[in-house]
Amino acid sequence: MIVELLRQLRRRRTKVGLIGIAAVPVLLAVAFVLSSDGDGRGGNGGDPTGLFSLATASGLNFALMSTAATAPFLLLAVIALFTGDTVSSEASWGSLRYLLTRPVPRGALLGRKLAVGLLLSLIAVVLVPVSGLIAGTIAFGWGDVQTPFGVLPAATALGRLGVIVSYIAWTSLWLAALAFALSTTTDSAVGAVAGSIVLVIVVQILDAITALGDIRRWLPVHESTAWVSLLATPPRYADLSRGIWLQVPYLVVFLGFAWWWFSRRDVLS
Amino acid sequence: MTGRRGVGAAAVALAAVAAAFALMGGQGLAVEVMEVVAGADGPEQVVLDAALYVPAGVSADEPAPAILLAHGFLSDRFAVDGFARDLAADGYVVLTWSARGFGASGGSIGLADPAREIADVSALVDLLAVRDEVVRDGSGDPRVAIVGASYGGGTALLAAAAEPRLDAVVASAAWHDLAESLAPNGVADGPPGILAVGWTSTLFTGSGLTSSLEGLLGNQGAVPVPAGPSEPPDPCGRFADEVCDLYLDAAVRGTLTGTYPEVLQRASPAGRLDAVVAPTLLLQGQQDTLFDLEASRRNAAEIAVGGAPVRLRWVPGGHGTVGGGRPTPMMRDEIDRWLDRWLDPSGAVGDDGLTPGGDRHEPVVPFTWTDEVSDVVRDHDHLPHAGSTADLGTEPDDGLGPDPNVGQRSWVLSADGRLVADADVDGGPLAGARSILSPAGGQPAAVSTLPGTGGLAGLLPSVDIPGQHVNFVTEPMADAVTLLGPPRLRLLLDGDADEIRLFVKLYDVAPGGGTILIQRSVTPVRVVDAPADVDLELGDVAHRLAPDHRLRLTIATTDQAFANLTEPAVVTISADPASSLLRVSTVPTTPAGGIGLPGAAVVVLAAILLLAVVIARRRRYRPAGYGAVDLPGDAPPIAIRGLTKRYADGHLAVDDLDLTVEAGQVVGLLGPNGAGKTSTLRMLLGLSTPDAGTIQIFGHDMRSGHPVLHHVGALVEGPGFSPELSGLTNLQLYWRAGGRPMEEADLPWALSVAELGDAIHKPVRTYSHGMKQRLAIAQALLGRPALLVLDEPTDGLDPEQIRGMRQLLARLGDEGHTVLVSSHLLAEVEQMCTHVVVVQRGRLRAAGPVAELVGTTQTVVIEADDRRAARDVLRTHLPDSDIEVSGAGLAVTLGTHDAADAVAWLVAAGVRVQAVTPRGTLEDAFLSLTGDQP
Repeated sequence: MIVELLRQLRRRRTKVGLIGIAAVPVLLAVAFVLSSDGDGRGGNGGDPTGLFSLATASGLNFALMSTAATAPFLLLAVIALFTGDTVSSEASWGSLRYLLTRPVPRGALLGRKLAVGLLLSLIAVVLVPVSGLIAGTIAFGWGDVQTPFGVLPAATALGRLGVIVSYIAWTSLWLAALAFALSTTTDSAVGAVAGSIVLVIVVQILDAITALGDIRRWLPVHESTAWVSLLATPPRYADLSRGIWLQVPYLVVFLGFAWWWFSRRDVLS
Repeated sequence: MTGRRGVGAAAVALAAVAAAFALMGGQGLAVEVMEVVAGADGPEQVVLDAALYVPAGVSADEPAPAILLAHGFLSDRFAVDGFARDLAADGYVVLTWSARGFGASGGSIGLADPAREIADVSALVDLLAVRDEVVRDGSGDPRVAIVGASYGGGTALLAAAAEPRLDAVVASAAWHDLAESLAPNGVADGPPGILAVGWTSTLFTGSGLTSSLEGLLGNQGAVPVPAGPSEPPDPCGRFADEVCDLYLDAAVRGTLTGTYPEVLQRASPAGRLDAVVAPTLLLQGQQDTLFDLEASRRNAAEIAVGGAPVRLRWVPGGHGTVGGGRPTPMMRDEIDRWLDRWLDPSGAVGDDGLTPGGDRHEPVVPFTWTDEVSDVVRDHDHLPHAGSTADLGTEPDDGLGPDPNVGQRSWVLSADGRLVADADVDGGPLAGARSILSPAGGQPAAVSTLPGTGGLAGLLPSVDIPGQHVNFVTEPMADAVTLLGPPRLRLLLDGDADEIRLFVKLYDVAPGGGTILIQRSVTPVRVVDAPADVDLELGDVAHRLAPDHRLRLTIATTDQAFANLTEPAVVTISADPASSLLRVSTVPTTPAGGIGLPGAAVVVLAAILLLAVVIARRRRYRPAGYGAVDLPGDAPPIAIRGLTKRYADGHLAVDDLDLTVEAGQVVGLLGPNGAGKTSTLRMLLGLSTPDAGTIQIFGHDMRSGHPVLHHVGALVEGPGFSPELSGLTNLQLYWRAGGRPMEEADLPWALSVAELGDAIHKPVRTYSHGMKQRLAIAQALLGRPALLVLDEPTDGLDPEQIRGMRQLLARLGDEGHTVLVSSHLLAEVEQMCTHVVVVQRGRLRAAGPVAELVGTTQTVVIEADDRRAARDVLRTHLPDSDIEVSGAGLAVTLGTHDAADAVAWLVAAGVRVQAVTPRGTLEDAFLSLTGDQP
């Protein structure tokens, strides 16, 4: 596990991914400071959570906004990168067969790869609000949080932010599992990562088609913005707990497939 | 093993997912679209666009109860299509229709006018009465319920008051008194209140009205505007003239005037609901800013007076809220149980002509609400209390008598901004007056709620403008206090203008300063004859104040959601300890645990913990030094029996191969391309799975990742490294992936073999092919493995390095290592190896020491004086043999003859023979073994 972590941490894609995702809130902060004349209000287009217009209220507000801005796509793309290329890139380099000639059962190897992929994904998910908090506090100061529902004291909001980040991390698991499953089936790292991202987009489009009715409720992204209700006082959990459960069947299917496939696969590359 | 377990888990998961979808999927369902003529007796005859959903299995022989499903405002029947299908799936016949003025229906919007929209409901009941698919309770009397939210909810209530044939009613987010909802006034018996401009303009102009309660009925967007896009702008759109006039007048004046009593009263359930006989379920959103909790409380009380079973359910969400944007399964469950209870889709009819359906004889729980602080659902056996400033004598007449659980808390307003509990003697209330400004033009205005924008409403924080509001705050609560019902407030107001408009709000103030506008409720106050001593009934609350939280009363002169005064004015609020008083109804607080963590999170966390424990235990039970295995001296390093592998494309790569490699041998694995060499090596290392046969390495049955691989070094199918990492890092990570300390690897030795110099610290992507090859050999040598498997090791090496490799292998063999080398360079193998194995077409052709294999052929080199003559002689005797020039002599394959024969023939022919030497090469041996079977 440590070895696998070292292996991944030394890779450029890991460094670029993590630095890139951490840089996004900083860039956003600069953009907000430079365009200080517009406070972001002006139509609610593209602001489904209502957090963008409140971004400059405090550092914590900015951290929340950064999270809301990156969670629907950018974070998912980075997670797909970390989990989707971990096995397939080894296969494309030919180093997978050497890993498999080590005295380590395939299941254990897969477990390490998955654990490290998830750990890196978690780091990415946590980096965004942390970077947003630092950048936002420098740019807009420390203070209570203006939420769409009212005002939260900073200490409370910090705790809620922690829960929100945990929720986002958990509800991204389906994608991590999907990308990982794809990763075990292909020798093309780009194929696994890009395939996962395309599927994310497809699922998000499906979720936006109201004509699909109740089917949408079973899409893994359907409750992905439910964390907004954690900002209410008191926080509401109904959609959250559904969002948490919703991940389970997808995890079981995707990871079950990954293990089943990889343990019987003939490694020919 | 792992694979089989994975299959099982995947199968279970797939079955579960499939079952979930199957449960949701509609089975057979017939949808009949129809045009219904209605309103022949009213002011306007219209054609309604309707759809009848008949589930499979329902027919004249097996009729089912029916449900009229009404849609919300600025919408049409398609908005409830999803919910209609769900209800049909439950076995009900469902009839949806676009209300007049909406969708494809004709006519103009009369706001649930009894002569228009409500008469339409009766026409639809008539329609159901002649459908054979619908159960009848009597001639012309179908068994039918009406269900609706918002506009549909109000329609359902008004229809229930007017249409006795309805058997059950579900009204979500309905209004009580439309005038009170659109222009509320907290002053009891006061003048018309302040127009809720945000809501009225939203309703009349149709800018995106959604709510969770309409969402409950499947109304999720797709809102057609009342006027067609191609028509010229018409302020009235499809509204009936008197409705439009009322709105235009109200919008201009900021309150209700003129003809409003007639138009709005006819559209209000208020005063009519004691005529309801059908059991009625009332759902209301606890944050509804349009039709508030009070509306539902008054509706419930009126129905209770009439004696019909009534249940009041307050749920999170409502018009103009965010967060609870979708219906919760809990709400759906509530509706389903109400319909099943009173309609009984099983269709059995009891002796009394009613259905003894389900739990019909269980008592109805009159009132349930959700404590959103703790997510606790609380049942009450009384309807919520109406409260009073004088005393708490005003009980809802729910036929249940006084509610013994209701208590009260009172505070006196103090001029220094405190709310003082009246028992508090020390530091008692101060008499005095506070003045606040009502700004010219009504701007800037306080922000409390944002009507109409659905999921986005309420995104703005609650903001009060300095100088335009005054606060009164209690001490922190010693214990939790649960407020339920309408708070009462008595105030003395004065101002320098005739008309005073104020907005009263109650906040929950957390110890850290965070505030919540309780129920998002704003109570407007309109007084037209100041000074006045006013007695206010504030919007109903259902809220638990946690310990250490404070209750704050805020009185403001402006609110963005309402029509503010445009003339500037100063309003004075007098705090008179004798009469200025805030009083709330309370119920006992259930001992609910702090934050109410959702069960799902707990279960998931527990599952993760359990998994972690299981993994940790499995690790602990692994034998110490996992991966260390015996290398029994008597077991051969490689023993392959009956190995067979057929690839998916049908190619039989290895066919019943037997192969043994003994300790200390350096074995060359030879065979033409496609002979199965690489396939055999793959299976040997566990990279692919044999179809049949066994592979033993040092006596251990081989499988992927077996611990015995600690003693195996391999180079298969060329090098494979992470291109971004240096050669050294690649080697280190490779070794450590096996779980053994770096010291056991003998890295310096391996590096000395690789001869990469400083390049070992450079990324592998900068290496030449030969450098990668040497690195791969070094990798295979890590840990000085007892068995070395090398596939084409000299590929890419220069002659010098090939010689080095030869010496290395020889040394390894001398040291007791076992080496299996596959190569297509026969000369190389001949020089490097002690033994040779020849495979062809997946089968073993020959095996043995190199010398033995080479000696099996009879090729000699004959040096004669006259080479040409010698060749002719030999050709005559050996017509089928290869005879070719080899150096100074002729190489001759003798076949069944021996060298002496050849010499005898030549001498007999007079050819002088100088020398006869046997020529044994592996190449010849190989060709003779494989050549006859191309």
